[in-house]
Amino acid sequence: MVLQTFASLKDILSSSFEIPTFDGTIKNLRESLILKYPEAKNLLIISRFAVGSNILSDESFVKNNDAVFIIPPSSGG
Amino acid sequence: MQYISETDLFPADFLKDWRDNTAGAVVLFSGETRIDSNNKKVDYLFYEAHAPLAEKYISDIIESAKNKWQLAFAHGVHRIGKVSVGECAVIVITASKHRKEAYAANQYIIDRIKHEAPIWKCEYYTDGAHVWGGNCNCFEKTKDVTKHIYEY
Repeated sequence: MVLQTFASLKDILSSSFEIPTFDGTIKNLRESLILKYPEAKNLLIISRFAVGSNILSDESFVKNNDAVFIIPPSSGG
Repeated sequence: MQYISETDLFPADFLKDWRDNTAGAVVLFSGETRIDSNNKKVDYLFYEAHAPLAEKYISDIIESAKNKWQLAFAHGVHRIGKVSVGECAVIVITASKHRKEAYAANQYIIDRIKHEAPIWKCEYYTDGAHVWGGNCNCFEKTKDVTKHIYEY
């Protein structure tokens, strides 16, 4: 699965990276990312996840071929 | 309608372009890069966004405000890219029959944009350092990344 990140998460995980095959819920994805990248834990637990322009709930299911965006807390304005 | 801009924003253009004879009150907010932050001299800000999602968020927020206050019009645009000191990073313009609604709607829109729209600011200082900052931290109180505490 390919994941893309933004802002401060980019500095930790890079703007685009790949993880081995993943099918599961956003909750599972968040947990597996925290295990794999503990240095990003503080941001991952407060980030939203999206596919395309849809924000997904923790219960949403993503497939391996989905391009997933990890959306850290906003700081616009 | 475009809500994210890669080019400079000029408040005067918005006041000229957005007119409605049914509106007795027009409120314009311009968020601009100030010269100091975190006790340092700011060189410029750099904004990035998940543009398609940010467009959707801002559009939805503006529609919500128009319905909530029966506005004559409302619009908001956020810059991405480099925004130097004194330049405009975000503009929100609202208009209604009377000032109360235009003020309230304007604050509602900018507050929700700052908390919800996937836009991020990196501050670049004159000493060469930079920091991503000012993240919404409502999660610490709401325990839900989609729930926020607003000022409006």
